[in-house]
Amino acid sequence: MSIIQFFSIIIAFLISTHDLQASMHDQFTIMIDPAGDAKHTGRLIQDTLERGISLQCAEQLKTMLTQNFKNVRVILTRVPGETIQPLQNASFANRLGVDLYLSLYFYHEPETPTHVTLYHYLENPVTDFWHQPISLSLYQVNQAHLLNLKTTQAWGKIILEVLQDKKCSKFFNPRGLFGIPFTPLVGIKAPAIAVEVGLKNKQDWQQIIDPLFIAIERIIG
Amino acid sequence: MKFFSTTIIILFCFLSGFLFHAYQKEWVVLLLPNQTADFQTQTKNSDATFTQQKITLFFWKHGQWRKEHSSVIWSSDAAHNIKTITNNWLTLLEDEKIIENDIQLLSAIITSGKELYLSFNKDLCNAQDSTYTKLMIIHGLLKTIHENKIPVQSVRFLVHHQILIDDHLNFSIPWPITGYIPIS
Repeated sequence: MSIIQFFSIIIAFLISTHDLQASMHDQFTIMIDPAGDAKHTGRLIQDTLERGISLQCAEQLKTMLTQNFKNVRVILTRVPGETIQPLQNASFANRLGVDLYLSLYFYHEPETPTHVTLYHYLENPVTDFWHQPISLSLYQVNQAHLLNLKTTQAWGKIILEVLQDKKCSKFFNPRGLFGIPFTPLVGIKAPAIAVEVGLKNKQDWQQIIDPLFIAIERIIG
Repeated sequence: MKFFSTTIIILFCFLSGFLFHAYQKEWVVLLLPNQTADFQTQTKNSDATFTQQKITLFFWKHGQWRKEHSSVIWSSDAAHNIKTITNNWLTLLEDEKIIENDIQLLSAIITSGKELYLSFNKDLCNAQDSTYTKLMIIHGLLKTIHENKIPVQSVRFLVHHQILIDDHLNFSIPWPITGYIPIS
């Protein structure tokens, strides 16, 4: 093998790995967590359980996102019939290094317009905001949210703005974005936001798909 | 004479044995004076001072904070005052149909670190409610305790002396008395 051939192979290898790294870097991974599982039915909405509605909503949102964005990878935390252990989703999300974690919740609300509320995890409403993230450090499970707290809040505000915009979302009345000790979001490193939607009728969940899609489009953009 | 003294000894041994057996089986309970209820009540009463005071109870209804005033007997013992405030607050929320009936506070303890432990007989929140509704019930209690100037910094919520488990809200950590939502 001549020296020219050898260097050609080396250069081709470097270019291909660079392209692979670039494409990996460009990919945006979203994990969608539909409320409930095989063991936890969730709340009752008319004659339907929350777990069924949240799964339908998550699947439709996944379809829309994957059809419209080439660089977006969407992962659902569960399939029908699966039981989720505590912190299983957090471990899954952290190992995959997801970019955004979205949790979907539904409940019955008899009056219209129904409300939609956004939550992110917070343990201490004062000192959590003083935290300066350290890359090489051990974090306790209940401190994982501190790593991306500012991004979480910024993206939460984007979703809230979309929900407040009557052109994008005329069906729901947004209550706001609240930092609370929200159990399902414990231990997730990535920006994690829970969306809790009030439904008067069980089929109304379809109205939240478009606002969420627009919000994610703005986050990715 | 010998027969008489033998009979006395046998009777004495029988009675002693019977009493000891009764004590062991707890058929007979011996209480020293300092273990009696009367003694405790007298001691407690001699330490505590009682006055009449007006308290304010807060609750969230129809998208806004509402308050109601009530007169209670106020003690120098903060735990006693917390029990009084919380039970009044529970009664008010039952009347307003915000919480279920028959929820009672079993005990209230304040640690030296100003952490308050509240143990209820059942969950304050309905499992069908939204997280926001549950959050505002908890905030109503925190606001009531805070506004009535009870010297505590955080509150732990228990049911039957065990950590309250909720699908959405994490009660395994102490909740700051000022809550998570800015109180206005």
